[in-house]
Amino acid sequence: MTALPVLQSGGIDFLVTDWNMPGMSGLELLQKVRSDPALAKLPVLMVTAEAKREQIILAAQAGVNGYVVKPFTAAVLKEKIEKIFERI
Amino acid sequence: MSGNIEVTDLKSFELSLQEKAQELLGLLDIGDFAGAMQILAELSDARSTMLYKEVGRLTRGLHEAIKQFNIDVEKTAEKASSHDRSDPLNEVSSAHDRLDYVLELTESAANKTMDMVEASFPIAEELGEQARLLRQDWKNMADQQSSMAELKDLGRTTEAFLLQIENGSGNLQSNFTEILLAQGFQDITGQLIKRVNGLVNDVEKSLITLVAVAGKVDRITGTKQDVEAQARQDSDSEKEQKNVKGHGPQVLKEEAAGVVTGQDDVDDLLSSLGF
Repeated sequence: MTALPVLQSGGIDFLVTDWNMPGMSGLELLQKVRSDPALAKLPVLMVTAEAKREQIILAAQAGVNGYVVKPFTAAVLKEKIEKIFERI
Repeated sequence: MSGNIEVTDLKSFELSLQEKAQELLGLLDIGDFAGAMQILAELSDARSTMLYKEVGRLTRGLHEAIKQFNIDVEKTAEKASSHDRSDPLNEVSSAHDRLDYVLELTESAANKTMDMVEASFPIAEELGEQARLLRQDWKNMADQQSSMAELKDLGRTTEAFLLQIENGSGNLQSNFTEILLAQGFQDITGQLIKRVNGLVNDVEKSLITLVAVAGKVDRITGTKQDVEAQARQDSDSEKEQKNVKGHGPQVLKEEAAGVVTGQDDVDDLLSSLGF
């Protein structure tokens, strides 16, 4: 809920989001980000305990750039972030 | 003409229903309508008696299930209170409270650990920085001719640094101890969750018994419930909603259907989708 206005006010280069959050879920946030022309290209990394295959597919379809399942290590997080930046 | 139908259980009720139906057909064939009506009345009585009996059984079952649930909760509370009066488990008298308590404990442990780590970072950083500066001073001294005053200065700086190490390592040690103690939450939360799990199992068993009894009532009254279709309908819309809102943490393991086993599995899945 609070993330979207902050993102829309600009100056954010990279978004790391959980799935389970009060108010708006991470997937909903991702969908809103992708449907906003100003934010459509913002790299988004999902870091979550949600581990169902259909959810990962759903996130991929919604345009997520990376997906890390909890529990994760600092090394995995770093690797995924670097991978995302390599691509853009 | 036979007497009243004796019903003891559902099976004998169904058997006598078949028997009486034959008899009814026979009576209708020979035109004995009074006899036929008598049989119909008997069947209706038997059905009512059977129904009351099963509803009674259902009520008792429900009552037992609720009672069992209460006893279990009370037992846990008693056990906790007899263990230690000041124990926070005293307040835990229901599964709901227990889970709330688990939440509270894990949250406070996580916060404490993060606070302590945050407090330790600057200490380690400062010690490292001071060591780097002092090493530079020592290097300069070795490289050039130094006066007695400069040597004394270096001695004092070194002493101050050693004191800083003493204090800093003391602080780090106490922070580490705090972190270690904060991990004790697992002992308590593990036990609490085990109890809630046991309770859920008990309730599930009682409910299964109730469903079996309720099924008998349905057979007597002839009620057909399209439970599966309803469940399918419910689960479809719920599933869609849950997929967006999230299912909560999954236990990452091989057996769970439709759940990834870890980050490697996620990576494989994503690369199969062209990531």
